[in-house]
Amino acid sequence: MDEPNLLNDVRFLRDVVARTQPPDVNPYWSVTLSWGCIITLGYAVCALLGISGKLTVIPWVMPILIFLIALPLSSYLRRKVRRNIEERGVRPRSRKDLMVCWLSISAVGILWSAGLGFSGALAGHWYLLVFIWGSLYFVGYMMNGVLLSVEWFWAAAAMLASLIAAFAAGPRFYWLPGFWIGGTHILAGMLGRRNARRRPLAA
Amino acid sequence: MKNLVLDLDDAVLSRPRLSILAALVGGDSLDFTFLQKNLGISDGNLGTHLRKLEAEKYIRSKKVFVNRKPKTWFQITSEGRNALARLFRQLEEMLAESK
Repeated sequence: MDEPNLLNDVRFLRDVVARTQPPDVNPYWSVTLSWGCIITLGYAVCALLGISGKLTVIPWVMPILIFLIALPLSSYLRRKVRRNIEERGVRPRSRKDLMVCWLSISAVGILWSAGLGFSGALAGHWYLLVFIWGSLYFVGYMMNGVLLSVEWFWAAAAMLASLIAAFAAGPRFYWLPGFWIGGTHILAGMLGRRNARRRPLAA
Repeated sequence: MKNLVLDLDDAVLSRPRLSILAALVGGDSLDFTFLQKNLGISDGNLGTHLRKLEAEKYIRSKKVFVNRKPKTWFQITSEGRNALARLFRQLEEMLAESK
């Protein structure tokens, strides 16, 4: 191999490196948006039920919305997006890294929630649950930003801002980060939609 | 320098085959038409290079039927990744020696 050929190959390898950078567009923005809308709707319904005094129904709202609406809808949207990508000749790899990250976050959140519940700490300090899940989601959003697409950094910033705002505003606003779990998904979904439209996938 | 050049893996160091591995190294599976369109390699030529890479176990293929039409997906293997990484290192060494 002579020197000009070698230089050509080095230039080509630079392109190889560029191809392996993390993507900045998330084609699955519709899945994110659907989760955001359903979680926000769930919080709104819980709030209305709380105001009207129907407290016994509240624990059933989120499980019903998640298992009967959110999961089937997100599975349908995921399959649809995947089919569209495959029609272009690309079969996206399974993102085990993201799956492991979110399973870890969920496991830690559930352990904390169970621990606080069983110890009775939640009875007097219900807001701890909101702060724990808000903080865990902040970490998850940062990981999504690094591993998936850039709009998740904005979602992480919004979550962090809501945590700080709730701390600063006092106990009357401790519900704010919990409400923003859905809100930040909507934000990430909308920004993802904008990014995907600006940079459509290669044919 | 001469020894380093002799050590280079011929199965990777052909422009079309390097292009194929570069396209696949991101981890996604790509189909034949996508590779042909994006790499600008003719049908027969692409098939030959894909077979060569598959024989070296640098890529694997999976044939499926979509609407009764055959579609072949190609994916890089860990051997393919290692071969590409080895080539990077060898080229870096060659560049360092030529300075």
